[in-house]
Amino acid sequence: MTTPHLFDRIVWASQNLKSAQPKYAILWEDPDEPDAPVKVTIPAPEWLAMALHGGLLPPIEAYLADQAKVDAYVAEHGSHEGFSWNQVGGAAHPYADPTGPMTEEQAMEYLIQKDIPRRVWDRPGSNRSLVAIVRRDTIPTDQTHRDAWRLSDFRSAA
Amino acid sequence: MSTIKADNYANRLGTKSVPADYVVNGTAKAWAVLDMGGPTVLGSLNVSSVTGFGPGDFQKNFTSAMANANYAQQGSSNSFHTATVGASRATTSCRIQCIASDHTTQQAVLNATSDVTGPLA
Repeated sequence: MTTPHLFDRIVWASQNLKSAQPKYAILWEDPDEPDAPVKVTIPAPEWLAMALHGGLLPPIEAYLADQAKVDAYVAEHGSHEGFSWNQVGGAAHPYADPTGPMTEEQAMEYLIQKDIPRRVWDRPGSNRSLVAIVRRDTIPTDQTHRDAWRLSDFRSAA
Repeated sequence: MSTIKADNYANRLGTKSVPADYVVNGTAKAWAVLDMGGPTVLGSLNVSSVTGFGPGDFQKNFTSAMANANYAQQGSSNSFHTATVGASRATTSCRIQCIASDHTTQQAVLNATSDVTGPLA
């Protein structure tokens, strides 16, 4: 029996799982933009429900393998222009056998590797982490000074 | 799960029809509703996470990628103008910005929506 396409599983989850508002957020800074304010990545509650349920999402290795294909294309062509999955042998993640249930903490680690550029979280030899997982309630809702936010402001909340 | 396989869908009289590919490719493949102040994702489909770059400037990250970057992206909000950042459109993510009436300042809004139409990978 073949694994249903990931989108089919996403639709099934939307009809059968209760969404789960995340307790955590990921804060990160991009080494390519040292003067930019810290970025805030929030899991979608419908996605988090799938991660906690298990048997729906592909293993992170599938996403990483697909990202490697994108990186190879960019290295060869100089940009993403003209990229399609058909040109690189197709995407693996929609058809990979799903992984099991995760805790919310594991889901956050998974999301770091999936949705945040590798140059942010894979920095061998660096003594300074550019990523932090924090409680969402530590993030200010007043965004008046949003452009001044830095990761160091939140270190104590991590 | 069962599947209906057809080339076309038609009304009962057979006087009007639409190709199945039109329905499949024209159905929204990803959408999200955001409270940019939180930030909080209020609802979504095929979105794993949202990244905030600054006030009114967000990126949706897809769970299941699009086939290529030539898909249609729509956005709306209660800001003066909602812009989809075409240059940032990728098979795995796309970006939306909400602009104030000065046509320059990005502003965080309570409800920003974005959806994507096109073929999946």
